Amino acid sequence: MSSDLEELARDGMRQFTATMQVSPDLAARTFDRHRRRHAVRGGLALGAAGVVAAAAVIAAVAHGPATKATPIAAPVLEARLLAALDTVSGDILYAHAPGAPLHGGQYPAYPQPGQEVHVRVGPDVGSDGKVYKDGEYSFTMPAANPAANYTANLDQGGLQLSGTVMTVNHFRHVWSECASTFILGFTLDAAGIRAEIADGQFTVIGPTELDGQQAIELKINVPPNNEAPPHIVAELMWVNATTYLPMRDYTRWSNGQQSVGDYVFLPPTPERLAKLRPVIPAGYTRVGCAQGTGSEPQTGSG
Amino acid sequence: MHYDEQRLALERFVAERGNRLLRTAALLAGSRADGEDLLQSALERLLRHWRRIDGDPENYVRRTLYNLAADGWRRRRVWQRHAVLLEPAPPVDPATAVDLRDAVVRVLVRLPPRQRAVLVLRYFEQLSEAETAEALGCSVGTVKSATARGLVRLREMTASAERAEAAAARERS
Repeated sequence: MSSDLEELARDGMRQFTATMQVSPDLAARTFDRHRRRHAVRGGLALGAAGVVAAAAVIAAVAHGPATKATPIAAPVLEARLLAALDTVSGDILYAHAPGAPLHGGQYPAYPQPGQEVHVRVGPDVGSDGKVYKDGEYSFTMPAANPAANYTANLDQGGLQLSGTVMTVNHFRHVWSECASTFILGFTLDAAGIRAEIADGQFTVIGPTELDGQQAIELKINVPPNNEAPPHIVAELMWVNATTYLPMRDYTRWSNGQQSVGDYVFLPPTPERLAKLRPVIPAGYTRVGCAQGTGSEPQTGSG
Repeated sequence: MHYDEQRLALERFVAERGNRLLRTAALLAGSRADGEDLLQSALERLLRHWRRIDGDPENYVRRTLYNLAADGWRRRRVWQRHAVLLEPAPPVDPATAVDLRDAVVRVLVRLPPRQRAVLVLRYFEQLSEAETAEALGCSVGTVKSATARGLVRLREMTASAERAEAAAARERS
């Protein structure tokens, strides 16, 4: 029944890989990494005390002071968190660095099948402080259960979507609006969090305080991964102890990189909804879809 | 094996078999860059276990590639967690529109790792269902169902890509 598709897959895979060659230094890099790891493994025992001390510093920075509020059982927290996410499913969701101004945003926060969804990506600011790119993805949430597209730990999550991509390139003073297919990942945060929590992939650490508010700290159970770095080695999330909505998450990668992000859910007022749409300054030229996205300027921080 | 001998052996192995292995790895991982990372991980394992491997080391590397890929190998989570776009499809332009074979590969790399691994082994490596099952350490029934599910998803996603291309073409006409 699938012979045509099988043949396409076969031909496509061959065509895709036909000209691929390994980097000339692959063997040397691999060998060097192997030797370094071999040496590191020998030194791990001696370095263990230092690692513990460093972890304590990171934990103190990320966690904030613990309080003596009543502990909560994981099943209770799970139920309350999922219920809380339902109550804000029609809000705009902003995810941003702590202290940074709200920008971008997704509406609705937890889209249901058939709903129109708008996701603003940007504005992106370069290292010179100038906005160089802005954009918006618009699509109709597929009829199929979107949660089914997420795996428990979100790593394979992502929705294959067809919709419209609007891009404003402030570096080149051009913009475009094109039909396209794209994959959205963790942008659908509420859905992603639901999937993760509902699968029981977390442990309740306990009550704490975050930015002056009572919070509950969760540890997301990251599966072991000793393969090619960087991969996620630790992940924490804080939810508001009163509303049970997600407040912040913290991720650490095997290469030492760390990131912290805050979640904000706000009702969709007309003013806020208007801000989801990127502004096209006067004088910008509309370009074809093959040119619209353009490349980032060299100063872009990404 | 002494370090110098091991380095030489690895260089020879990569020179002789590297390109072929990279092509499989790239399909399993979704891109050439990720494929080379995946291959590097498999080669590191080879270095660790070379002395204990009987037979052709390529078999060991291939098996390692398959299993690392099918197990998810790397959590493909968005590194910039708050960046919205996970993997943008290239803008569709009828003038330079890629053909359906390219679309198939574009959607193939978005399948879950085990489904993708099964399809790569069955249609790129041309392994039988039994050989695929043996390579991935699962039953033939699992291979059959993963193949069927993978092809269904491939068909759906290819149709979606075709619709988007048609819409883009209409927009221009």
